[in-house]
This record gives sequence, C-alpha cells and structure tokens, in this order.
Amino acid sequence: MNQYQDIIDEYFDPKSSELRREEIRESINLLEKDSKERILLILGEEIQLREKVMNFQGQLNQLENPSKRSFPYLKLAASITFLILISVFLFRHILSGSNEGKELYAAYYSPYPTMVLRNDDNSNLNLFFEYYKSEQYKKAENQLQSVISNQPNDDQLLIYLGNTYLLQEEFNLALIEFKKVKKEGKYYEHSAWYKALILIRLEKYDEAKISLKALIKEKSIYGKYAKELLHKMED
Amino acid sequence: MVGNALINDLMNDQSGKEILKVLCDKTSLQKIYNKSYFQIEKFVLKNSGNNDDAKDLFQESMIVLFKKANDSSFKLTSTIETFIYAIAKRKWLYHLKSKKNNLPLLEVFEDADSVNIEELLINEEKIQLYTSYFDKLSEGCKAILNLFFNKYSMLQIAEELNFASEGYARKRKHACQSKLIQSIKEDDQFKELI
Repeated sequence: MNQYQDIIDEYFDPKSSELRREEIRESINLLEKDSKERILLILGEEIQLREKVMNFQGQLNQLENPSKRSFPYLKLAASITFLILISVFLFRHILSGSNEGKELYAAYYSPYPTMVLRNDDNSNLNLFFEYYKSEQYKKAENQLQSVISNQPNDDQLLIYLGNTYLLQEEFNLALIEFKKVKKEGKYYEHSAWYKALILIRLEKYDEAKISLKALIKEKSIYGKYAKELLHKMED
Repeated sequence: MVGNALINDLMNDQSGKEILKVLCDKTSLQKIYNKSYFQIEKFVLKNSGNNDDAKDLFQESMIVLFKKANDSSFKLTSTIETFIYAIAKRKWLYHLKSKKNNLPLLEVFEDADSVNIEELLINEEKIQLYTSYFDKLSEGCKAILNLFFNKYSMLQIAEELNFASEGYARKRKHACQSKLIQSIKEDDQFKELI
C-alpha cells in the first residue's frame, strides 16, 4: 500500500529523490489548475524560497542608499521585509562581539518598516509615515496617536507606535504599547521580539532570556536572532 | 572584472543556476542595477510614476527573476537587463490599469516574450494570493506547514512541535492544508486567476 496520503506528501517527503520529485511535478502540472495539489506545490515551493528571497532582497537594499528612503514595502509581508532589515543591519554591525545590553540592542534593533500606500486611502496614516520616514518622531507619535484613537484594535499600529517611542529612546513607553498587542494576532511575534530587545536594553537579562526562549519555542521568524542573542548573553 | 565576465556570459540561453551565480555576485548585481534601474526609472517617470515607484518596480522585478532562477527548468532567452525591464514595464502597466489610470502609456509594449512574461506575472499573483492565506493561518498551522514544505518528515514535525505522535502531526497537517485550500478557493481573485 502506498504510504502517502497523496502525491503532495510524497513530493515534500525528505526521502523522495529529485528525480521522483520531477516526475511528480510533471504529473501535478497535468491536473486541473484549481486542484489542491497544484496550489500546494506552488505554495510549498514559494515557502521554501522565502529565506533565500529575504537574503536576496537584503542584497538589493544594499544597492541603494538607505538614507534616501525607507525600504519599500511591496506586496511581501511586513515580517519578511523586517527580517531583511535585520539581516542588513546585522551584516553591518553584529560582528562587534560586545555583550553589553545597550550595544546588543543597538546591533539587533531595526525600526519596523514603513508601508507605501498607493491608494491614498488613509491620509492620516500617510502623514504618519511621512513623519516616520523623515525621522520626525515626535510628530509621528502625535499623528499616530490620532490614527489609533479611530482604530484602537489595530495591532500593527501599536507596533508602529512602539517603534516611534523606541526611536525616541522611550523604552518604557514602548514596552507598554508592545504589551497591548493581542497574543492571538499575527503581530504578536513582532511585539514579543521588540519586548525582548527592550528588556536587553534595560539590562533585565533574566526576563529577556525568558522572552527569547519563548520566541524560539514558538518557531518565530525571529527565532534565529533570538538564538544568537541568547548565545551572546550566555557567553 | 568578475562582474563583467559573468554578465557577458549571459548573452545566450542561460539556466537558472547560471543566473543565480550572477545574482549572488555583488559586483554583477551592482552592474545590473546600474544598467537597469535608470532605464526603469525613465520609463516610470514618463508614465505617471515617481522615483519611489521605480525603486519598487526594480526590486519587484529582480525578485521575480531571482525566484524564477531557482526553478531548475527556467531558461532565460534574453539578457538579464532586457528581462528585468520587460517585467517592470508589464507590472507598471498592470498597476496603471488597476488604478484605472487613463493616461496613455508613452511607450509601446513590444517585448518578444510578452506572453511568457504575462504568464509569469499571473503566476506571481497566484503566489501572492496563496501566501497571503498561508500567512493568515494560525501560528500552529503555519509552523506545521512551514516544516512540511521545508521537507521535514512527519516524525520530525511531531518532535519539533512536541506532538504526541507522528500520526497526530499528519492529522493536524491535513486539517491545516484543508483549511488553507478552502480559504484560497473561496477567494474571488482565485477564480479570476485560474
């Protein structure tokens, strides 16, 4: 009896040979375009490529002058873009080898990326992004507070507000905003990452280690960096 | 000059592996940027766009090429610069159409591979749709499917995620897949793209 529930299981089985995968791919491409197998094949290959694409986008970002403009937020998820920012930042700064909280924070912190809103459907938010990009953080903070008063349940806005505080070195205020992000939401892991960084910056290392371990355990996109930080803190 | 030599090599049909070699070489990448970016910028500025749009387009187009280059069956039949420019122009056309912008394009589309490029971009739209639903899954489902797509065995998935058994991991994976497929198929855009 075939051990696989379906052909997709066999395709992604680590024991399948490349030749077999090629055969499976050909047979899947003969199926209807809306078949489950075709969708999962396309999606699975895209997911496999994510890390490589992130690294490549990091290289592309280095071709431009980052001070001219924030990194463009395209159709990629903010989390992906954010990891690229970290990669670029780490590439430049991480090799210092210092274990001081302030320096570790500086090495790993990167502002949450801005979005380019093409449809101009939220002029208040656009104005915030303008202030944020042009590093007018106090104005950005005030502007965002007014946006949040109309959209109090938007976790992504809380991430931006936290960052606006971080960029003004208001660590405790930032911590308050990140703690408001809903645990079940998709922005939680971003808030958890920033909280861990703040704890490091405030030299609350024991609490920071707990937060970093949670990120690793939860398979966060920040897991790799959490591991690095833990390693450095334990050196 | 390694970069020049690599780019000059790409004058005939080149495999994905060869393209990746170019894209992963910093000098070559900078040269592609120097050659392609300003061409794209000029086109965008002539067609109702600005510098930021041009930067976005350049990056998006390079990522399309990078992803294709990871496909073992992909062959590039033009230079990288021609390909990038063609992708960027086509994407910009879609963007203008989506904004219902009636401004006439000042440049006629006459890419030799325009049909292939169109297919490629439709595929990219599908990918974006699928990944958007993947990203909306619960953290648990994302973790399972992420490991599965990255070729972890069911036993490894069970161990990584502290599941009681391989069978349970398989059951959860199946449930997550079904939920994902259902969400994708219910999306109106999916019907348009198929």
